[in-house]
Amino acid sequence: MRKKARGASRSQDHRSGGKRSFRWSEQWLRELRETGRRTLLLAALIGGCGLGLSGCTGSPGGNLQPAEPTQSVAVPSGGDTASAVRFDRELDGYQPHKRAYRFYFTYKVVHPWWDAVALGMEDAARQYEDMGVVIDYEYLAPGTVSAQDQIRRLEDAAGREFDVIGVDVADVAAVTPAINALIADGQRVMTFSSSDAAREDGCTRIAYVGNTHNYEDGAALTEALCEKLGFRGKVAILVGTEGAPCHEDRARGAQDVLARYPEMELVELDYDGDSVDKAYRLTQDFLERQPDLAGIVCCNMSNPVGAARAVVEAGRSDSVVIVGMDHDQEALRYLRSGVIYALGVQDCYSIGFDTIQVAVKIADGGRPEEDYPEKTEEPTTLIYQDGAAAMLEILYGEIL
Amino acid sequence: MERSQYTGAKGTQNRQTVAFAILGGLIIAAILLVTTVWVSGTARTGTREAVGRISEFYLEELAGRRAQVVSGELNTHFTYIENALGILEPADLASQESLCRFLGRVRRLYGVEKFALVDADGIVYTEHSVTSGLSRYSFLSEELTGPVVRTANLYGAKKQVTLAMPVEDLSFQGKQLKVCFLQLNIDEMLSSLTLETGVNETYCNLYYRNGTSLTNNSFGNLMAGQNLLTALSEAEMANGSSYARLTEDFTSGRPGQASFRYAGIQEDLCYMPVEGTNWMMTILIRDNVLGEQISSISSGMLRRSIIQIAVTVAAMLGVFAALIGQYRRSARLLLQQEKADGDRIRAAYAQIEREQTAMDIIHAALGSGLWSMEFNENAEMVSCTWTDVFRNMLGYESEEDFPNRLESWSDLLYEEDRDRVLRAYWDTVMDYTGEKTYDVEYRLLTRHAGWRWFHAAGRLSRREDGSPISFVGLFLDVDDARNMNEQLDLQRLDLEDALAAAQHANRAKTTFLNNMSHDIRTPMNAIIGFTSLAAAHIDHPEQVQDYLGKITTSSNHLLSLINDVLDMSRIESGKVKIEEKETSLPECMHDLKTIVQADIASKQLEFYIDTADVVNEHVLCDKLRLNQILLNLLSNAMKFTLPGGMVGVRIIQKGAAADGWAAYEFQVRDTGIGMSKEFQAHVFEPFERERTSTISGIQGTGLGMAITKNIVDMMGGAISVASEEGKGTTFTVSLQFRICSGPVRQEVIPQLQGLRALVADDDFNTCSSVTKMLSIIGMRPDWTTSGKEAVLRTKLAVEQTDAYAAYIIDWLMPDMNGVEVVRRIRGLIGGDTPIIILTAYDWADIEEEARDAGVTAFCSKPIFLSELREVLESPFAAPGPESSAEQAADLTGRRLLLAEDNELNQEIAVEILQGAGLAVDVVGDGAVALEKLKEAGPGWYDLILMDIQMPIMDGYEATQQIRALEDPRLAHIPIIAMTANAFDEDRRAALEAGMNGHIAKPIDVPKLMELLKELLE
Repeated sequence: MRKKARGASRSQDHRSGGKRSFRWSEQWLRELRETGRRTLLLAALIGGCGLGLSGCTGSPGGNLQPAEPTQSVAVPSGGDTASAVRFDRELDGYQPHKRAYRFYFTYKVVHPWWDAVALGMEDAARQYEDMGVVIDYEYLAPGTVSAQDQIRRLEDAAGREFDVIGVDVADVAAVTPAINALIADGQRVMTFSSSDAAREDGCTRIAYVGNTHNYEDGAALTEALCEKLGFRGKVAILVGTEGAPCHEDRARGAQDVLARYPEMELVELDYDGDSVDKAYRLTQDFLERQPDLAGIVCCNMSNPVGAARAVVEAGRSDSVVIVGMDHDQEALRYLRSGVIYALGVQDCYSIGFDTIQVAVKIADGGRPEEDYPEKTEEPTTLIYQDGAAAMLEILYGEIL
Repeated sequence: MERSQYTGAKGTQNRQTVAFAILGGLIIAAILLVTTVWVSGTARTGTREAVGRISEFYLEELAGRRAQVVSGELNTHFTYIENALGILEPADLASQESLCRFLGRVRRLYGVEKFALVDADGIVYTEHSVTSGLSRYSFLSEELTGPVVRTANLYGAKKQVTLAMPVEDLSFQGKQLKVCFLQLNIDEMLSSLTLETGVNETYCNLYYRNGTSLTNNSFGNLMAGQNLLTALSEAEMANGSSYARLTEDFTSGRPGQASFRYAGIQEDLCYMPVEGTNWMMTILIRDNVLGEQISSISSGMLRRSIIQIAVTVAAMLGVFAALIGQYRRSARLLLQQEKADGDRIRAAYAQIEREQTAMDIIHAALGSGLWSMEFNENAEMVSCTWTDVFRNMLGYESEEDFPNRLESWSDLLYEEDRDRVLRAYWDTVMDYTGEKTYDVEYRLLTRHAGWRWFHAAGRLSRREDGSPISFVGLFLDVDDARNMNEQLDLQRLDLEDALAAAQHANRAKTTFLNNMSHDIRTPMNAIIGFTSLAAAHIDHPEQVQDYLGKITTSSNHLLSLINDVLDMSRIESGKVKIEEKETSLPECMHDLKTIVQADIASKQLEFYIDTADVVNEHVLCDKLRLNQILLNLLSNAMKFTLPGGMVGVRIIQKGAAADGWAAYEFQVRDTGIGMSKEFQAHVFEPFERERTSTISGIQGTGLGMAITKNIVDMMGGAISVASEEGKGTTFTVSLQFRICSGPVRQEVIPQLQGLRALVADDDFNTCSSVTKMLSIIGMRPDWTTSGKEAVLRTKLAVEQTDAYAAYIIDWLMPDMNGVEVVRRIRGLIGGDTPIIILTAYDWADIEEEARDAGVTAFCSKPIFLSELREVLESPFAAPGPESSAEQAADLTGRRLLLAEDNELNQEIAVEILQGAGLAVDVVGDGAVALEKLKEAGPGWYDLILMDIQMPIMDGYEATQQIRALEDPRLAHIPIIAMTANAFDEDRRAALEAGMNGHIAKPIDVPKLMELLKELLE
C-alpha cells in the first residue's frame, strides 16, 4: 500500500494548495477510518489530540497533531507507483504574453536529485518552444552547499536582466535578506525545489514551487519506521545540509514523531552535507556506537545510500530498519532487496516542470493566488519493497 | 421377344462400360495420391533443411547489416561533432548568447535532440540552457581521450544515446572547453531497424555486453528492459548451442548464433557486436515461424494435389457419361426434328394464308389499293394489275372502266405532276443497282371527286443482273390528310404571328411602363422641386417667377403625356368617334401654323408650309382630329429636329377621287435625326420609341404615332413614312373628304388677265404653287428663288415696259430678306403696284418696317387660291391695320357661384376669377349650390361654375334641378361645367344636362375667360 505524505495540515497550504490538498486529506481520512478504527483510541490517548491531519495548523516546527495517520497503515505496500513521478505532464494552456523569456535558477548543490528537476524544466521549455515561445534559462549550483555562494550567484544574476530569478534556498536565514534585497530592487524572485524561504520567515519572494510538506514527509517516514519496529527501539537520524529548510523540517518531523512514542529513543543525529560518503561514514559510526540500533531515519537523498551501504557492509541489514528520502537508483535497489524499508519519493520532474510554468506567469506580471498558487505543491509518495521494482523501471527503465 | 433381348443385352453392355470407367478412374486416382504424398513429404523435409540453412545465413547477414547501420549512424554523428567544432569561430565564443546561438544552429542542422559544449567546471551549454551537468552526465567526471558512447539514465523510461568527444584548444569566458556532446533518441535511431512483423515473429534489439537492454523495446518473450543473459540462463538450449558460449560471445563481443526453447517457444538468436561500442545487435526469430510456414506450404500442396486428383477423376467420369448421353439425345432429337419440320411447314402455309387475308382486310380498311407489274428480262412490262380496291378509289368499278394498262393510270395524272411522277417511276424501274425507291405524291383525276392527292410507294424484285421482275406497290388517298396539314400549317403560322405580336406588344408595354415611369417622374420632379424652391424663396419674386415658369412648362408637358395616354386608351376602347363638320382647310392650316409657331421660334427651326393644287378648300371632316394628326406629326418633327433644321408641311390635292370627294395628301417633313428601317416598321405601333427617353433625352409616350395612325385609320385614310437616319423624315397622310361646297372659283380675274406677276420665294414648291394659282386667275407669272434676282427681274421688266402688276415676295430669303427686296422693288416701280409679303411667321414685329418699305399686304403661308384671289381682287388698296390684340373682356363686378368640392381646386379657381375682377361665392356640393342660388334669388349670380363629381349631388343633377326651377331667371342662369372629366363624351353629357359650356381641368385660363366673356356678354 502506498501512502501520501501530505502537508495539507498547515494553514498556508489551504491558501496555496487549494482543492488538491484538501481532497487528498479527505482521502487520507477515509483510509484511516476504514483500516485503523481500533488504533484511533490509542492515538487519541497518546497524542491527547483529536484525529484529522487536515485540521493541523501552524508552523511545521512543533504543532503537528499527535494523531499521525501513518499509525493506521497496517501493511505497507508498494502498490501503484505509476503516479509517483509524472513524466507525461503538459502545459496548463496558459498563453504567454511574450515570445521569449530568460530565467535564472540556482539550487543547493550539484546532485542527481536536481537532475530530475532539470529534466522537468527541459521538457517544459521544449513544450513552450513547440508553441513558438523560447525559454532560455540557466540552472546552476555549486559543488558543495554554500549559502554565501548562493547569495553571490543571486546578486550576479540580478545584474543580467533575467525575467525571473529562482532559488532553491540553501539556508533560510542567510539567503532571505538577499532575496528581499533583490525584490526591493525590482527583481522578480521565486523559490523552488526542495526548500522555500516562506513569507512567515520574513521572505518577500513571489511564489514557491516544490515540496511544501517536508516536516510531514519526515514525520510520515518516521511513523512507518516506528510501526515497523513495533514502536520500540533506538533510532538514529541522518540529515543533509545543516540549515537547509527541507532537511531540517524533515528532521524535526522525525524527532516529533519519535518523541510521541515513549519506547522509541533518538540516539544519534548528524549532517552529511549531502555527501553519500559522509553518510556512509556517519552510519558506520552509529553502528559502532549503538550496537542495538534498530532504525535510521534519512532526511535527504544521500543519506539512505550511505546508510544502506554501511548497514549491508556491517551485516546488520536484518536488524536495522532504514527509511529515507528520494529516489536515488542505488537506494531504490536497496529498497528492492529489502535493505531499506521505505523511501519517500518526491516528484522532482513536476517540480521542474511547474517551476518553468510559474516563472513564465511571474514574468508576465501575474499575481500570486490570482494567476498561480503562491505555493505550488508537489507530492511525495512513500514506496516500499514491493513497489521498488516498478519505480526502478519507471525512473530508470531498469528491469531485472 | 427379340426386342426385349436386344434391350437387355444393351443394358448389360452399358453397365459394364460404366463399371470399367469407374474402376479405371479409381486406379488412376490411387496412383496419383500415393505419388503425391511421397513427393510432398520429401519436399517438406528438404525444404525445411534448406530454409534452415538459408535462415542462418540470412539472420547473420541481417544482424551484420543492422550492426553496421548502427555503427555507421554513430560514426556519422561523431563526424557531426567534428564538423561542428571545425566551423566554430571565435565570434561564436564571444559571449554566452553567441555560443548558444551557434549550438542551436548545429542542433537544428543535424536534427539531434541536444548539442552541447561543456567547460572545465562541468557547465553544460546548449541552445537554450546553461546547466550544471557533472551529476547528470557521467562522462564529464572522466578524462576523455577519444569519442565515447553512453546511454543516459534518463527518467520516464526515455533512454537516450549521448555521443561525446574531448575538445582541445578551445576556451570560453576564460574556462577551458573540455567536452562536446550530442544526444540522440535511441528509439528513433532504431525505428528503421525493427523487423517486427504483424504477428511479432522476428525481433531486433540492442544489448550491452552484460545483457542489459539498451532500449525499452520487448524482445520476443523478454520484457522491455529485461537482461538477456539473465533471462536465457533459464532457456533450454538446442543441440549445437550452449549458454556458456553465448555469454562468452557477449562478454568478448563475438558474433554468433544460438537456438533454444524459451517460455515454450523454439527460437533462433543471432548476435553481432556493434563496432566502436560495447553493444550487441541481436536478431531473434521464432523457429516455429519457419516450421509452420513450411508445414503449411507442404500441407497446402498435398491438399491441393488430392483435390486435383479427385477433380480429375470426377471430370473423366463426367465426360464419359456426357458423351453417352449426348449420343442418345442426338438420335432422339433427329426424329423429333423431322416431325417438327413437317409441322412447321404446314403451319407456315396456314400463316401465309392468314396473313394474306389480313392484308386484304387491312387494305380495305385503310383504303389503300395494291398494284403490281411484271417485267421480262429486257425490262419490258409484260403485265400490269390494278386491284379492285385501287379502281374503286378512283371511282371505277371494273376492268372495263379501268383496264390493266399503265396508261389507265398515267393519263389521269395532273399535268404539273405527270413528268415528275413518271420520271420517278421509270427511274426506279431502270435502276439496276436497286438503290432507288419509288415513293411519290401526286394528284389524279378521279371519276367523281375531281383532283385528289394520292401517295404511292412500291418496291421491285430483280434478277441477278438487276433487271426488274416484278413491281408491287401501294396506293393511298392522302387528299384529306394533306388538306388538313396545309390548314394546320396556316393555323400554326397564324398562331406564331399572333404569339410574336403578343410578345412584341408585351415587351413594348413593359418598355412603355418603364418610360412612363421616367417621363412622368421627370416633370413631376420638376414641379415638386420648383414648388419647394418657390416656397423657400417666396420673398424673391424674380426667382419665384422663374420657378413658376418652369413649373408651368413641366405641368404642360405632364398634361400632354396624360392626354396622349388617355387618347390612346379611348381610341383602343372605341370611344373616339369621328365627327364630320364643314371645315375650311385654309383655316385649319393657319390654325396649325399659329399653334406651332411659338415652338418653331423657340427651337430655332426653319418652317415651311405650303399648298399644291388645292382647289377644294372646304370639306366635311373632323377638324379637331385632322388638327390632331397634323399637330402630332409636326410635334414629332420638331422634337426630333435639331436647332437650325427645317420642318415643313405641305397639303396637296390629288386628282384621283370619287365624285363628291376630294383626295388630299398632307406631307410633314423634317431634316431631323431620322429613324432606322427596322424602327420604321414599328413606328405606328403603340408604345414604340426608337430610343428610350432616358437615352435620347427626348421625352414622349411612344403613343403619338399610334394615335395618329388610329385616327387616320378611323378617317379612312392612310399614313406612311419615309426616313433616313441622320437626314430626316417625311410622313405622308392620304385622306379623302367629302366636298361640302364647290371648288374655289377658277375663273380669271378680268382686271388682272394677261398681266405679269412675280413670285419670289426660296422654296421652289411655294413658287410653283403660287405660280399655278396666278395662272388660274389669268395672270402671267414669273418666279424666282432669289431676292436679288427678283429685284433684277423687276428692273428688266420696267426697262422692257412690261412691268409686273403684282409681286408676291417671301419674307425670309437667304440672299436678301423680303423687306429689303420690297424696298428695292418699290424704288424701281413706284408706289402703286401691290407687293404682297408671303410668310409662314408672325409678321407683327416687322409690320411697321415692312409697310414703310412699301409692302401692300401680308399673306400668311400656306396661301390658298381663295386667299390669293381675295387679296388680288381687292382694289389693291392697302388694308387697314389689323387689330393686333383684342380688347380684354371686362368682367369686373360680375358675380359667380363656384360649386367645387376640392379645396385646392376651389382656391385655384377663386384666385383666377378674382384676378379677373369677378366676385365669387364658393360651395362644396351641387345641393348646396342649388340652395344658395335659390336663396340669392334672380340676378344675384351671373353664372355658375359647376364641378361634376361632388359628394352629395353631382353637377349633372344640380344643373337639371336648376333648369327645372320655376323661376325662369334662375332656371336659365348660364352654367359652365368645370371638371376633370375632359373627354368629348363628358362635354356632350354636360351639354345634354343643360349646361352652357365645358372647361376641362386643369384650367386653361384664356379659354375660361373667353367662354365667360361669351356667356356673360
